[in-house]
Amino acid sequence: MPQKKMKVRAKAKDGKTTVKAIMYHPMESGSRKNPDTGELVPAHFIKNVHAELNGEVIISAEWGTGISKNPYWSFVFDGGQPGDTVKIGWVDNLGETGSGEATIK
Amino acid sequence: MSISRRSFIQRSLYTGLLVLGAVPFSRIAKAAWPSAAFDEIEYQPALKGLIGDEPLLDGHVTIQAPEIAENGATVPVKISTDLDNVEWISIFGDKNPRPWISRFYFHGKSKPFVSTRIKLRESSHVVAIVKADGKLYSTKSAVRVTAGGCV
Repeated sequence: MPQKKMKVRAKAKDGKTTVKAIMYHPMESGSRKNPDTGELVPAHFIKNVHAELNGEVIISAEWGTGISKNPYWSFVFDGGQPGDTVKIGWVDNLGETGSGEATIK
Repeated sequence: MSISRRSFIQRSLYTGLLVLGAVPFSRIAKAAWPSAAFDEIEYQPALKGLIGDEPLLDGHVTIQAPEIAENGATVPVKISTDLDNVEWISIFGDKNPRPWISRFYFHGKSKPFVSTRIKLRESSHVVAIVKADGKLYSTKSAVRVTAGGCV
């Protein structure tokens, strides 16, 4: 299964690390019509997301169709050293998965 | 709606099975997905689907959202709280066709803070609910939407 693209950045400052991520995903709600055909576009959206610091899950999330297309997500955690790895993974309603990671700067 | 509730539930169950089969993501597959909240198309039932009859307390929760959003398809929101021992933060759009938007669980070193972009169909309230020390806290912020999001 091809992994979807994601951009992740993580920066440590003043004892905290801020992570910013953009995931490339249509986040189709299932109630939008294709403007050309008038047919409903099937639902296709991320349902579960999680973030790991050095392999340990620090945030997990459940998403509905109200998260915007190409989801942006930023979060903060205590600590984090330059060189540590932050990884984000998702699963959507069709069972497709995606992930991305960043080394803390 | 393109699909009946029944077929949606069946598809949800099927998706759940697929998720369970995704080995690298087995850990997040353990996270429940609140279909009782998601399936609801009205705000109050959706809220009840998520929290049941638990009372909502005021205060301690801050929403940063624009007063006017030119594009309802992508409205930036930040939610933070001064509470300790936060279990989760959940977001609703009270006039969305699916009012429940998301829930974030905090473990270990993570701060109880969410920054993301949401869809709002029309001018409405963004509602944030925080569960901390077993209690629920809530606040809301009005957003005027000048072009509705394709939700």
